[in-house]
Amino acid sequence: MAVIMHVDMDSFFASVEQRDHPELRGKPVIIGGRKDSRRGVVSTCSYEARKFGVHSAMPIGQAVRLCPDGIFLPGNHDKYEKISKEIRQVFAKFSPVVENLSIDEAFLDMTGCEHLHRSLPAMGNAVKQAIYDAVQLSASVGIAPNKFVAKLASDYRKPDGLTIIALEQIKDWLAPMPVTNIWGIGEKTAEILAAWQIHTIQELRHCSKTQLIQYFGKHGRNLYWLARGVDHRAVEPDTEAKSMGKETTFRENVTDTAVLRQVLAKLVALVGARLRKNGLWARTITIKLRYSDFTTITRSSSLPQPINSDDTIFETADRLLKKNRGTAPVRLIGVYVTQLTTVTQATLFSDPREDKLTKLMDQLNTRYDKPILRKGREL
Amino acid sequence: MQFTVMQDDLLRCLQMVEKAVAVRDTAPILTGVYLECQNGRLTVRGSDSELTIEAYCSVEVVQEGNLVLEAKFFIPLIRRLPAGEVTVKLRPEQQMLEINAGSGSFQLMIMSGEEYPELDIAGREPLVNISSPLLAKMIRQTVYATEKDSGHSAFTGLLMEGTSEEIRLVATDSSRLCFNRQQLPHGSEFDIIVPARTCTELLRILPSDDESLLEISLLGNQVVFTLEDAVVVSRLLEGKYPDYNRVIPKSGDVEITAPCQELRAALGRANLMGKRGPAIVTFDLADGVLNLRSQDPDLGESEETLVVEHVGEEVKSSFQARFILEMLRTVESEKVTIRLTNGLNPGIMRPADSEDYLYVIMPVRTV
Repeated sequence: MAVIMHVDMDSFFASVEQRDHPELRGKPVIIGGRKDSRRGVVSTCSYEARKFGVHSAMPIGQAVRLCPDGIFLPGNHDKYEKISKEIRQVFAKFSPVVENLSIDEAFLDMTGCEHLHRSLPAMGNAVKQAIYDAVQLSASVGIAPNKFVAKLASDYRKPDGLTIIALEQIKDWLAPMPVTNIWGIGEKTAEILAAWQIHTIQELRHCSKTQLIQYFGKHGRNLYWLARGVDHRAVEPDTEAKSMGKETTFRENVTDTAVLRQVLAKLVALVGARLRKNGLWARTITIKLRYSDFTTITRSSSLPQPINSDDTIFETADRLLKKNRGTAPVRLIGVYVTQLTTVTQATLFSDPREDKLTKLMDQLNTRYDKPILRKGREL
Repeated sequence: MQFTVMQDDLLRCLQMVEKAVAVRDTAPILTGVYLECQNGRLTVRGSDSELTIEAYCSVEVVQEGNLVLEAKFFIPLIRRLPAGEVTVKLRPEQQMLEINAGSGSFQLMIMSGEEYPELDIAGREPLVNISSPLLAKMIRQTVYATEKDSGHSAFTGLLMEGTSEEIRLVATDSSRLCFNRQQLPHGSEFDIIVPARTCTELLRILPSDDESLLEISLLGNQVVFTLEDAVVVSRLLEGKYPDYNRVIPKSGDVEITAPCQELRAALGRANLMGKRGPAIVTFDLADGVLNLRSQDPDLGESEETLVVEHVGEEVKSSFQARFILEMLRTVESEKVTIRLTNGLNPGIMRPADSEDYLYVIMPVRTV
């Protein structure tokens, strides 16, 4: 039977700041922007701040109203990235199969490794201790026979928690939980279920598989099994980057499409340069738009061949922008590339001068460490 | 309208026109098959907005006339009839067609033949006459390289180019290019881009006997292929075809000649190594030994060696295995000659005994 561990760092960014600045310990620390920031969003907050009702993804303004004496910091992403790397080195000592979900969370496939430890609790504590020894930060750990239950388990007791759910416990343990705890149940699905008077996982089990598939399609089959704690997804080690992207939040909301296009061109140039620097090609281009009312859309387009030129990324992103922009003021715009590959088909009719120009621009921009050569559309 | 026809003759005509019948169309009449009998001959026609196919067979006409039948029912019915005579008779008072064959009798609703688009190819301008099996071979050796896309770019079609001495067919999807030429005296100068779908349909209906000739002609912005017992009329693709001569390499670092069958078999195995994307095969050549390697991060890897005739130094180049296989499947010679160049330069393949069929293929960048 599989043994899956989910490790989640406790309020990662805030804890790092509290570790490095003893005067912040025991105080409500909110990372995401300074107090006067009109545009920022909370990315993490300390447990002290959570008591005031602050949570991640909340606009800074609202957090200030809830917690006026909070300590608001913009955060230092480079530092967090570096610490995250150190934590990943700790994981590597415990399991060869690690799937990093984000900067502060990972699945470890511990199947077979559990025999190296006295017991499952001892194994969980060993990982927690090793993380603490390396970076002096606490983590919450969940251990279960599959990913779905392991992730819920790490969230069960926080901070500094360790929760182990054995196969025979799963059914009862999940029963009283709200259906929204199930991976893939968002607002819309929850609304439909609520209309059927289904709020807990136990109640969801009363739905037949046919009924769920009829209403939710393929997703319905997943719901049926997840409600029973069955999840066969494997821990997938990320050997290479799955996506690259860049986004920016405007100081003032933007309604002028020309300005959006210009900013988009700048973001594309950064993403394109990064793609080429890593020797990668992308097949899918995605744009992200967040409007003044915080609704966020992402729209993607896949190309027949992988590409890496700024021109193609921009053409595709610009087409997506034109088609989906609407009229509402925009507060954030971003561009992402996914389906990355190192293998690409060369083409017969390409213009070798294009490639030369791109290479030259990349070289100069790298040498001076800033975009000294740009395309006209960015200006 | 009333006539008697042999079941196999009628079915042959229907199978020829079947693929031209519109599946769904803004004009419902185009989802039907048009029948017309006159002067001892039955004309069967299918058509959609870009392609029209007409086929003929001899019948015993009792009364001339024309009408349209729902293809989705009529064709399967004729296919299922027993061999032998089929009598077809219009019952005008009921707007029904009565079909009698064997022990069966069938009544089919009809649509008016007058509403079906006419086909008049009398004003066509002949370009060239060519043997049917020869054109079929040329199409077979090019059409697979057209772009598989629902768009209407020039790359979704075959370039047919004529001079006073030869006819050339060219296809490309910008990753590879097929070039095929045949000597054909007394031709005229022309260049047209024919949709790949039209070419595939032609392949299906072109007779294989050496004697049969067909005529290629122009009718406005359409091309007409006139066979002995059928006519194919197709829209032409607009747009400019790129200068293909520019991308056909004139030289290479290395030239090898390999037995087609063995190479095909080896590449067929290498082609299995493509779970996430197309299988990539690396040609590594030194001292008369061709080493073929492919791998897939989710599956594993394959490697095999082939002894080949080899001229030149060492070379290493990677290609999509499928691209090379598709070419090898159309080669009739026993051996194939491949010219390769190091770096991101195109390779070129041809039957060992001919310069008339060239296949230019771009390599794959790998890290």
